[in-house]
Amino acid sequence: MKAALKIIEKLGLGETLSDADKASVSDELMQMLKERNKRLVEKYLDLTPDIHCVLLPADDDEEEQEETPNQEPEKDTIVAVR
Amino acid sequence: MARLLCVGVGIELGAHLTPAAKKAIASSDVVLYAASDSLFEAWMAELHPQAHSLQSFYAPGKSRKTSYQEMTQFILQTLEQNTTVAAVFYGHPGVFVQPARLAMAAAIKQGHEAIMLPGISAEDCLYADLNIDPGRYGCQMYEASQFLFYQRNFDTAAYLILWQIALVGDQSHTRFQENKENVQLFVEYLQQHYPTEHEVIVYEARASYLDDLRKVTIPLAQLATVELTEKSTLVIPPATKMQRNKFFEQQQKNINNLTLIHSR
Ligand SMILES: C[S@@+](CC[C@H](N)C(=O)[O-])C[C@H]1O[C@@H](n2cnc3c(N)ncnc32)[C@H](O)[C@@H]1O
Repeated sequence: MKAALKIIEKLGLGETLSDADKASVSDELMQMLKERNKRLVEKYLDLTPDIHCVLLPADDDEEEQEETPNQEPEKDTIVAVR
Repeated sequence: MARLLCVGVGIELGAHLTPAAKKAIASSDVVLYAASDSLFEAWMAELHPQAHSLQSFYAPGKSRKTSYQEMTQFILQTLEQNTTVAAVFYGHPGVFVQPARLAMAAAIKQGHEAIMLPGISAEDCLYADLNIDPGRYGCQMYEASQFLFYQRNFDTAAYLILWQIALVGDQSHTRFQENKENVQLFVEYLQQHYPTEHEVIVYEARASYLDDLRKVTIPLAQLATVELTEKSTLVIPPATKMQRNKFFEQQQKNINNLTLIHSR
């Protein structure tokens, strides 16, 4: 898994794969990676496809609105700035 | 006092990881993470020996509001037991990420330190991939459902970006997939402001080398015929011309006239 992810990362950055990279995964997986076949790669790596993005719950209740446009943010939501 | 680091790792696996994010993750005792897809999640799991996914807080039929409250509690509990905890989110942790905001506010309330480290967001990718400069005509963005639930005074002469378009109109907060009827209702609402034939763009930045950039340009009226996923963002280019501000022009003329009189 780690080796495959490293290869995906490297290819994403446009880097050339070393012989060690190529040898770190099976020929079958290397072929899938080269073909950019995400479905097959996920299957090969035994990854569950049912991952959810963080999706904001849309505010449908006015009483839940925390701030009105002209209000300063609450003090405790102001965070340290580097 | 412990330290909570809310860290963004960008949209494209590996390629968008900033040195600051990398350092923050390495310096943490524990890493809690939320990804955008399973490959991204697998990559995040490798970021730290003590990395734990927040994915288990989602469940079919469970409100995301509940999931995010539980994630927040879990982040806080982890913070109580450690010195430095990184809550790592794909994209930018401050852009449409409720659990990051909730956790930071709660941590500060309990006397901890909370710092946010920005990441490359879908918005950043969009400007690059779709060749849009938000400064050209102006740019407004809303969460799609919020845009539908409330009356907004938006400007059809500027870009309009709508996030979470697949879930538009969902009041249950339990859906993860699109509802074509709601999308159609949304189209009908937009058609009160935009021509039916106005071209809109469904956009998905690539999440890794294995993805293609998705850019579907279609007339507004056909939006419901396009597949919308959790990652889809809708871009509506300007449909009208910017109108000159007569008030400003008149005021400036008056000032210029006054200056002329005084200089005589
Ligand atoms: C809760 S928001 C999280 C945004 C994320 N924090 C960021 O910084 O981009 C989820 C929404 O972001 C947008 N989004 C996420 N991934 C995307 C991608 N790969 N391409 C385009 N938009 C994306 C979609 O509108 C999606 O519904």
